[in-house]
Amino acid sequence: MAERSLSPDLDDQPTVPLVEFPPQDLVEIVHRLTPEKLASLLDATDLKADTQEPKIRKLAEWALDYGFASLCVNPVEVDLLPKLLKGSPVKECYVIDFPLGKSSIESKQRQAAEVVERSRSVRGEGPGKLELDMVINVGRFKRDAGYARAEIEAVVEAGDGELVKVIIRSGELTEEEIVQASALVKEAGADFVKNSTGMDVMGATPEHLRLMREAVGPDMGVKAAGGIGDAMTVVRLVYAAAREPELLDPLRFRIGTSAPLTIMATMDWIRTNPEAWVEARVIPCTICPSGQTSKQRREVREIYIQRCRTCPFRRYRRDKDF
Amino acid sequence: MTRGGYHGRILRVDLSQRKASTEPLAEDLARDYVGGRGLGSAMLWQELPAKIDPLSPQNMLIFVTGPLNGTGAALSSRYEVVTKSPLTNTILSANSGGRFPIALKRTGFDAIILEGAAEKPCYLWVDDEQAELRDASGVWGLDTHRTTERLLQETSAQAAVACIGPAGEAGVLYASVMNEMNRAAGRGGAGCVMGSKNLKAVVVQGSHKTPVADPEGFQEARKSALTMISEAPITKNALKEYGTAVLINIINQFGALPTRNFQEGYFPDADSVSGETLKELLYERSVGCATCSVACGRGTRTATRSGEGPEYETMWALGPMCGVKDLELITEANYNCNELGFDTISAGSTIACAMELWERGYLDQATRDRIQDELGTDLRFGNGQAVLRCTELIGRNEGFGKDLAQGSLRLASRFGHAELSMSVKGLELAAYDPRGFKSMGLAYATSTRGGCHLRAYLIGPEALATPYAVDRFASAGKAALVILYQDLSALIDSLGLCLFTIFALNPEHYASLLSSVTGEPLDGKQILGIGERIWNLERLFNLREGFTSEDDTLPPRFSQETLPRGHSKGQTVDLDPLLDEYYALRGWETSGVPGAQKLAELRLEV
Repeated sequence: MAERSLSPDLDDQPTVPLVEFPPQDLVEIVHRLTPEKLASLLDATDLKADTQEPKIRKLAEWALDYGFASLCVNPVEVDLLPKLLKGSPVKECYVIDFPLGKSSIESKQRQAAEVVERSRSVRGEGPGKLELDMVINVGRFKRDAGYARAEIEAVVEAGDGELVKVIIRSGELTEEEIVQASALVKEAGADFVKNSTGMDVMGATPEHLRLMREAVGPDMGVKAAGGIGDAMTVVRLVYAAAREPELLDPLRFRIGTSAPLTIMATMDWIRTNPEAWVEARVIPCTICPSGQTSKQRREVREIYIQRCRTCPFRRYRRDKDF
Repeated sequence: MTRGGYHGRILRVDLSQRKASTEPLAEDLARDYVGGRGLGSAMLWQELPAKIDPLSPQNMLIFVTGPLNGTGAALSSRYEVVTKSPLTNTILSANSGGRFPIALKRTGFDAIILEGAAEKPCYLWVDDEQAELRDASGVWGLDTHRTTERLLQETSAQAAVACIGPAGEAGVLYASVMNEMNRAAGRGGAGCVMGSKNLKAVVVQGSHKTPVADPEGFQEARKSALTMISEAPITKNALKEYGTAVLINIINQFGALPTRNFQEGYFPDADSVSGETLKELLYERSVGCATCSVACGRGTRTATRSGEGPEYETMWALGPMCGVKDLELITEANYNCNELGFDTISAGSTIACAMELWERGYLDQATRDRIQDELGTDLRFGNGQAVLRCTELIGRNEGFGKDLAQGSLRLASRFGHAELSMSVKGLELAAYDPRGFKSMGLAYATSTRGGCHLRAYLIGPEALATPYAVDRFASAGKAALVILYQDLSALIDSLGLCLFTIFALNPEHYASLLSSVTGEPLDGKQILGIGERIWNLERLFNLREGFTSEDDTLPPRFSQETLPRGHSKGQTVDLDPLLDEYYALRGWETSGVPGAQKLAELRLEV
């Protein structure tokens, strides 16, 4: 009797997502991630609705002290942030049509153009000092990839040469769609593909970041975001999407996080004994896309649940409260 | 002493001769053992004859500060009482916080060594390097609250008091040294040693500032540490909001909240004794040590009494461990422990052991009748009134309280069922079932003061994702992590810092703080090396006392009985492979003895 397929989309994919890592490879990544290198990959982020000016000032102080890549905030902060970062190499990063991506193409374009103009005006240091993290309309993408491509091209154009990252909300996509969306982002001329807003159904998982990197290749940026609060998570994501030393570059790989200091501090922990920390492994399901299905749409969820049933780690799923 | 962080003076008090003398603090001791737990342990190792009776005048009692006390570093008001434990016969360092540690440092002494035994009850009054033994007959017999109030009246309202209660006077083997009335150097019976010396209290005040070698560097290190403590989720939110008892629901959810003497790991009524419920029903105010921005302590009030606590371990020991879900009764039992002066963990665990002996029918009828008569009720699990009454009897060492005051191992052994003592080396285990947190099994088994959770608090990575989450059921890598935490915790306890800083800081932070205060450059690996030296020294002490690898074990329940329900259902502990790996990584022989090469590397001499 022929084996029953998991799903038409997944027949050619490995059964087990990327949840295990060769210890020695992780140790090597730890050694590569010096404090300066690690800081240079971080987009320190605060996108909460109730954020007030003191928090932005505090984040800016940290970004300057540690040398983070950028400070990622809502567009409304464009009146303040350029002043705080002026004269430094730290970039401003503004989210566009966050978090749902459901505005029109024109609206996204206007918002992007507005923050670019305003930032350059306030900072007064010319181009190259800001970045845009836009969200695609996932619903439209699923039936009309051309629409998503048009959205991205519009924002890239409005960005006027500034670095554009595109959030594909990978938790709402099948794996095939993740690959398609990532390729689309590249074709549309953006600089980075990014998995999540941090507010959608799934944060950063190594498996999704691996798929995204494979789809766009080494010449484009990949940004991981969502639930990244410690250095070992960063190390695993680096393994997934920036394993080669040349990819550990702020133009090729980023981490979006609202806990940048915790990441910096936990990396110091790991450095004291990388072998021990690497050997003490994580519960696989906590970093597996198949383990985070409760909020997903049915057609996506069912694919993951099927995969979970045949996973060698399924013993962990007897109860989900690890 | 040229080194910052120290006054360079030790006060030595011979209680038998009623003599006090000052001596210099050896610079190499300060360098190699830092202060607090490390320094006290080194002094004990050097001076204490082997195998003495811990309750004889020969035993030493050392009150010792760390180099960060008095500097203003965040969470830097902890001190240690170091002695040989009468409960376990191991080395003992018991830690407490509050205002006392800084007041002790400000006397101008880095440590106070107490030797011999006074003929009559006395207390030590130290005021800016001036030491005086005073008559304590007026406070002997009083509880810790009344004693503290009276001694502050007799000395100075600005002074700080560390004293024993009736439990310490009466020989309860796990009596505590209590400072600021409710803060306990709790575990292992330092208060019992103090009572055996007829020493009721140590009262201190002073004006000496702790010297800092590199003030600019220290301010930078201090600011960095404070920022991390202010931003880390556990120190920023959970502990601040609900106190340590916030762990009740969390650990119960993991199915590893020891229930009914570790027969289960899930307590269905956990929420009724949780930090959240405590805040809702009994909370009055947050209480913090000096220099603390977290303030995890809880000022509480019941219908008839007020006080502090219960903390997580206390809530558990007097609550779920005994099957009790009555928050008010637990809180009042905790007040008894504080006022009478004894360890809540050992008390609760010993009561739970007695309850299991009772329920399994292992007590003879005469004993059952006597207990029923003294308690006015039975001793079944869930009987909160029995727990409350037991704490009164323990504190006075009266009736059945005399049996309970010996700890669970002696109690269970007396009735022929030592296996029901949930202890290691005679010290009762804490509120984390090792079947649900595998590294805690190894941490308990190898702890230098017996079944203690604070010697390696792997609950951070195994339950709280700090510094990050690891698989709590796996054994791989755990031996190395236990060693890392043991060494770092030894260092933290020696600095004078609160162990909760481990939720926010990493070894490099501690290195920066210590380096800037002392003036000697150190990095994270080097300070872990100091922690390793302290750990090995404590091990050597215990080996000298006759302990062997046979004592690095767990109660048989953990390997023989699976947890019956909850999210750790079906789990047991297989300790042997972990121990083998642990000894090897420690550089110890298979017999658990530190190897010659390791001793040479650590500059330790047997």
